[in-house]
Amino acid sequence: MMKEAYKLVIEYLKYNGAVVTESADKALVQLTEQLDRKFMNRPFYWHYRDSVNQSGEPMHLIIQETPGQLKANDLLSIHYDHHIFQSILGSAQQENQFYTAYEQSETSCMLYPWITIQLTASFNPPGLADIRMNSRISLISGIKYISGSHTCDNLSLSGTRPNGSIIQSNRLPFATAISILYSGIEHYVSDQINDDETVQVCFKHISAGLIYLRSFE
Amino acid sequence: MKFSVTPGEENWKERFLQTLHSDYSSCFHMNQYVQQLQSCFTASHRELLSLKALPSFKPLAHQIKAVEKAVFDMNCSAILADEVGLGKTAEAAMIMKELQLRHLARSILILVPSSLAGQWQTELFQLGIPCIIHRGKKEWRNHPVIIASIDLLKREPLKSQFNSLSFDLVIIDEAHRLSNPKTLNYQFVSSLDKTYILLLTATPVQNKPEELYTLSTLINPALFKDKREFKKMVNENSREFHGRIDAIMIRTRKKETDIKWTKRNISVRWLDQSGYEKQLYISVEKAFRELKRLNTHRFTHLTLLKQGCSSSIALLKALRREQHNDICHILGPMLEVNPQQLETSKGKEILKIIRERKDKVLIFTQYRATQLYLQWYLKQHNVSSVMFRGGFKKGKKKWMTDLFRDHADVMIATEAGSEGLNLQFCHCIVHADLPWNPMKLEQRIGRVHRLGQKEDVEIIYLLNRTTIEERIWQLLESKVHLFKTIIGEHEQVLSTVKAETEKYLKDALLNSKSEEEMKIKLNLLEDYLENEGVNHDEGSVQAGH
Repeated sequence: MMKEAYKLVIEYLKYNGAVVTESADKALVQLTEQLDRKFMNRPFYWHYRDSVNQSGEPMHLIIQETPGQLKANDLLSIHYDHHIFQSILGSAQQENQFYTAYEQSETSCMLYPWITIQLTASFNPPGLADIRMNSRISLISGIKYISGSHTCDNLSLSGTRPNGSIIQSNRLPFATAISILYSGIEHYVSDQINDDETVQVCFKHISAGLIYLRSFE
Repeated sequence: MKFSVTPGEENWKERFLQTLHSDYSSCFHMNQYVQQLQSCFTASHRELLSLKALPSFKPLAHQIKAVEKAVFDMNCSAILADEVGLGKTAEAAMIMKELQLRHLARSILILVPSSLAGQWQTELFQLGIPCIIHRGKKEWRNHPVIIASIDLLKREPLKSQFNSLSFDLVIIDEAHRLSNPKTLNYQFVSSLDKTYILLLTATPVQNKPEELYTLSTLINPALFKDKREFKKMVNENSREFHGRIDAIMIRTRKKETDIKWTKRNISVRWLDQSGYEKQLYISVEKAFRELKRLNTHRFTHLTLLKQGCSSSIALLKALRREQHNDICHILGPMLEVNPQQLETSKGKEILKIIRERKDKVLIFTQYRATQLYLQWYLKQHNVSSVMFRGGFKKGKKKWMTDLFRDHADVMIATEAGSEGLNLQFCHCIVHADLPWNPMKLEQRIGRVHRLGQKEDVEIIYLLNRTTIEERIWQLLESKVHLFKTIIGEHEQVLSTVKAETEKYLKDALLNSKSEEEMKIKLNLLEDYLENEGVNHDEGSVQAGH
């Protein structure tokens, strides 16, 4: 888990313009001004720089994959347990909760819109295994797939739209599609735990996206 | 069936719709990383997420077992009654983290004795749980995890303020303070609006078994119909009773754990007093004989001799009290002294030990005068030391501990205020004098010989030959069983017995009018403990604890 968290933080910082020099299990990061203002908790420093109308110097950081005693001269070293790491991790998750993706194709084709939701169902009282779900609904035909075999993992998706593709506009409104899919997820979870009335279900780690696939069924 | 969305994500639909209708440019590959991480947080059957989320914390097997039991079988409400030094705090912190990760606890209140608040904060911070300590000087500050003292909150105006708040989890350290339902402590905790509650105590029963009943009412008020039923079940000692107690209490004993405790190497060094120290001691002894002849001698005068064994300066300081005017009158010119005469054989021996060891040494004394003298004496010989005593404020105590760990080689401490002191980085203790109460010896040693100690601990007793120390030591040494019962195996003796023992021991040692009387009292105490200890051991075997 630490490895995944480390990867996410590094990618997030890179994505936001930080200069990252990576080695096996740690990375030297030169933050941007925006990232520094957001995460480094130096309001007085930036206030002073702004007041004298000077550009500030964003900090350098060392990010470690595993907690350990790394002595670096004047450089802040952070790892999973560190509150700055946690706050970057939190932002990375929140800002990338929703996405748009396209199925890849080498030839020009028609792409149909789908809404997809990924979430984890956890249970109270604790003890039952969590269920990680991956579900989607077509905005053309209304057909829905909940968890199981038809996962997005089998699809070749990318963030960039393929050349020559034609996008079909949706027939089902977004809000309606989300509601249908969400209630489908609730039914699925109820079935999984045999409609046990004593169990409370909590949905967490929700991700959702608008994806365009070559098929609408 | 009730469905909900974890706090912080409740409005995800609205935000998602907003994103869909806006020109928001999202990053699909970043989301893939997010999903990879979120998949890791998916718990399988009876899996603790806190173990994944606390990478730098390596809990012990018994701690994991306790947390699993509390979370999965006890609905996160339990009495954590592990024996001293087995890491109840860490267990409570893991349960807290587990509830946080499962989004079952957002507001958490930790009630601790004010002297332990800082220690709790440090331990939680090491586990990546930020928290604040509320000391009541400012208005109430809101924070997800708050540490406060129960004595602060149980009184107005904070008490009424608390009745309007609700907490997902309340943790109470040293929960035996809640064993009386008539106290403000109990009533305050009972009135709190809470979902989960953890009570931490090494001694859930201190005086009467009913105390356990009182604690159980905080966890599950319906566990026993009433106190009468509880008492009846205690007397019957039935399997059902133990089943019910097991449903609310987790108790691990040291012998049940896999922890390999390091050894204690004990050595006793007999020293001869010399010079002024000896003269003063002999003079005080003579004065006693004189007073005895006049029939005004009291056994408590022996405390003076003990102080004389600790250091001359401690004895001189004690003699300045009004109650000792009679002795001072007899001693006369003996009380005139210069600094060079104050050197003691124990001081020299301590200096020798420090020079030989070249390692950290913790010195314990009962008397502040001795503490100051030793610091001065060591300074004269270019050995810097730090002091530690009960009167220090929390910040200073921490500072002194840090100084001892990072800079100084010697700490001179009085046992008062050393509760909760963790000095596992030190491996040598020197007892500069012998306390009356042997339990205090265990407390002193416990500062160093505790969970986390990686090396064998050397314990050195410095005793003066042909003094009262020799007599006390011989007396106690001949009472090996007494020692064994009180110190060696005291964890097997019910705390009720422990409390009583301490009372009788104190009486025997302090209020006896003669050494004969003291011996008789100690003999009786030994017989009593022997019987009680055996009875209890049998009882605990039956109870399966």
